[in-house]
Amino acid sequence: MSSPPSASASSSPPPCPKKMITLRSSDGATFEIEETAALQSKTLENMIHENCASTLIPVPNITGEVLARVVEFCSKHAEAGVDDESLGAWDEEFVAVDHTTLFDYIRAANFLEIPTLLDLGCQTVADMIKGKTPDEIKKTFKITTACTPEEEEEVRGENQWAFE
Amino acid sequence: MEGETLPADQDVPRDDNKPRECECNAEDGSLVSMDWFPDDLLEQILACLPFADLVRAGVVCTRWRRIINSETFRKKLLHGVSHRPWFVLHGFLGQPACAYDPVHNVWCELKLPRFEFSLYSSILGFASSTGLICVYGKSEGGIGQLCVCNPLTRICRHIAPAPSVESQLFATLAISVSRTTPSYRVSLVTSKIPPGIQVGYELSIHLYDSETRMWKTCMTEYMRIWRCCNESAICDGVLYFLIISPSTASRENRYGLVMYDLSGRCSNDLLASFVPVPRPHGYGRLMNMKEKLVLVMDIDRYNGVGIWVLNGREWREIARSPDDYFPGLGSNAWLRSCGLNDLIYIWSGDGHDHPSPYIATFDMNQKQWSRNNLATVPSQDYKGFCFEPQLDIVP
Repeated sequence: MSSPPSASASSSPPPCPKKMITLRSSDGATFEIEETAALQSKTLENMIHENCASTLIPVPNITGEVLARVVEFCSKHAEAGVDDESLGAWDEEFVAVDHTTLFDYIRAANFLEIPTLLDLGCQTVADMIKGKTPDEIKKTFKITTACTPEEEEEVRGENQWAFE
Repeated sequence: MEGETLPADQDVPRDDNKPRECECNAEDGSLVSMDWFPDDLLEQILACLPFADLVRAGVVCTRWRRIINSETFRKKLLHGVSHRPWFVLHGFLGQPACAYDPVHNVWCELKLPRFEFSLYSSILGFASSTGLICVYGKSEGGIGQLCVCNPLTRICRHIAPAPSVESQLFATLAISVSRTTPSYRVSLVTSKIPPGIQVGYELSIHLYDSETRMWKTCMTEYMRIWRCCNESAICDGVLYFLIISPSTASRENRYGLVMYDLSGRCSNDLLASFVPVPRPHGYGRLMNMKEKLVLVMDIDRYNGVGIWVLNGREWREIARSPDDYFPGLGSNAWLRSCGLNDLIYIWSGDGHDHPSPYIATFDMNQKQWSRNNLATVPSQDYKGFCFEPQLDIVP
């Protein structure tokens, strides 16, 4: 016969159970994320409040690979006691990826409404654009459409100072 | 451009914003192209760019150009800019100007239009306001010329000043750009020694209106001991300028502020509007900060710089520079300042060839001082002026 555990028997109180949410990506992979981290996303916040009973949230727009990283981002940013400098360094590493992945992060952050990730992604792309000539920009981002010669002439004519 | 079928696992949602898909294989085989990036996200990215980069981005492709030129985007963009205007340094001696963008913390080169003034010393007056700068000087033929231009688009308008304005006189220029209509006003205050008179000066106020394209001489007054000097500003339809009573004893010139209502509604007796400056023997800089008149002046030669705002007929001190910003200005010191909207720039030097190594700024909104070690002001001959970049304003 076992007696129920009493408070005085344990040396430290049991850890508070953290509520976990499960996200399912477009390709069927599942990822667990703490509720506090999930609240970084306004979309998830709304869904959590609507489906209080269920803890499985489908995210049909995002693949498993990207979703895994987004979960990592939110968890890191929900962590307590991280100073600004190390978080900044972590963010920098997070976005040191190829263009496709970066755009995926931005689209995911947009869909899930994660302002921190969206700002970080957009600023990173903007930093890649800064200082480049239009031809360099087209090359870096593989932009194939172009301005008509008339449009280009109009902008350059008005704003020569920016092209010198 | 060849279209490629999408791999099965990349379930990209389609929405109306996106143009047709264009997958272009990069050399490493990855599918990467910004052509399919949705408009609203592209807008967010472009909004992070400094002004000069934004202009270049406008020729990348039609779609980018359309986004950048859209009304909503421009409003969002210039909202940040107007609170923190650029600061431009220019020597007018053929070298390009450099402009500092405080929002993105970058300096860029700005080629101002070539004014017809061949010598710096022939520039008699200078003023800047939202989007436009105005220069008054003497051209090679000795004829007075006034030039209003938008430094970004380099569209210039040359205006002949009123015929009664001669070259040897004291003059100060101010420009006020209307925020509601595409018009501006230029004021020119001059003092000259009238012929046949031994003592005193004749002070005149001339006003140019871009809508009528005409000069009007608002008033002419004889003053026995006062004349205008180099500072004037137009705030909320009132022209303010400093007058000086030069004294035979060195450095004991007396300064004061007078005002003139440009709408002509009130009776304008200049000396009746006289307001002494906080330090009667000190020379300050006037500027229009959101339609309030602000004066920047050294507190005393040895103690730093103060900022005052005019409330009615009284000065209210709103800030003093930190102790280490302007240490001991000294007897040969010079002080320059300019400001627009929320930001004031101040720089100084100790004697002709010793400028300070930094430019100090004061944010009127946040009441915050800061220093920028970003450029050395070459000498006091360089004009520094504040300028809110605007592409739409035409002189």
